[in-house]
Amino acid sequence: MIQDFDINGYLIINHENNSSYKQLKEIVEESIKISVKKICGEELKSLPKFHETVNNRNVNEVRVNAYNLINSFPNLHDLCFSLINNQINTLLGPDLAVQAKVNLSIVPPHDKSSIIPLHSDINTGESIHQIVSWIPLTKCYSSNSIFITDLKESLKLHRNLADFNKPNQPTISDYSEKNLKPKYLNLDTSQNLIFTPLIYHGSNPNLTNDTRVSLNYRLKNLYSPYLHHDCEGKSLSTFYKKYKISKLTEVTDSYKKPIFK
Amino acid sequence: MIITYTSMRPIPIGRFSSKHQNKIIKKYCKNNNLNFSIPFPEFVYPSCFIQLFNIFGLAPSNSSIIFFSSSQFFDYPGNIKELINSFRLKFNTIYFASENYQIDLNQNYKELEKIIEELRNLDLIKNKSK
Repeated sequence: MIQDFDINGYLIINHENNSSYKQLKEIVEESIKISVKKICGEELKSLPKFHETVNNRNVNEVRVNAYNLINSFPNLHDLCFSLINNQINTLLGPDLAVQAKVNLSIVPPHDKSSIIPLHSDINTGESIHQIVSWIPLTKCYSSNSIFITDLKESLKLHRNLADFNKPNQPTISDYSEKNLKPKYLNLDTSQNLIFTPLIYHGSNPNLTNDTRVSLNYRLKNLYSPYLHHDCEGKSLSTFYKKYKISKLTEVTDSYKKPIFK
Repeated sequence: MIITYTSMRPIPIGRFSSKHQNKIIKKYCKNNNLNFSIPFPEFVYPSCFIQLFNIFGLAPSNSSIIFFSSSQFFDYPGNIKELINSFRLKFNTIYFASENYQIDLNQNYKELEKIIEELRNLDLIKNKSK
């Protein structure tokens, strides 16, 4: 399966640890329920029917509140990581940095404020060496899911980006609509998507009858370069934190340079 | 529709993380009774306005746009009049959260033209003195 990564730039992995996913889902569900109660004063029926309780105006406030609650759980990264542990080791090695905060997406039907237009994370300063891990908490299908584009076409667009730096010309969205063929990924709640940030991706208006809830965060080799272009806030200790180290790093970390006075 | 727009590269008033910019825009929205939406972050590359031009294509007419700062225009590489016309096609008002300032693009669009020209001249002087 891992062999497909260099062709497609993404992998869909069946969870390696079902009990971690169960705990993760409880954390997210409970955090959203508490936030809905606090902000809207109502009981949440279920995640896919979020939009029946929360109107679009309150979506972001609920999302931010739930995001803060979710990120207060000390074992959050471990739960997320245990879903894909083996595959990550093969892709990134044993020394890892992780995005310090796990993002929460809530995408109700027809909510325009939840649209994330086509983008590649490296264009906004994130490391070219990271992978994005995307965890569905509701079933993701057709327009309520993430869309991704072809790796080869994405690389071509990166190369030709400067062509879209003029007003009143076809925009990057126009180009992508014609050439990149967005593909909505159908993902079950037992699956985890990982992809390279080189791939252009995004989310369009959700035209289904179900709200999508998902988590995403980034992992990279601890010793790969951090800043891609000159961008604030994407370094180790601001955006990423040290997460796992190899036995070799454990040993080398204990080394102290001699001081000659 | 209200669209918000942040800068991912350093701008003349400083270096700001996306987190910081979002916070400032959110506060501005709250104070001015505007609906906050997740910002469109501009690409990191110098003189790049691809995301802004993308917004021009995506936004419905009579929208409003909130910039983190007016100084985001400092390295705009193209024709300013052409840019202002593109703004006016889709937007009635442009807001600058850091400066707590807004321009009615139907009445006072020349003001925006002046701001961008001054910013570009400043950048030119700065570069020449290096």
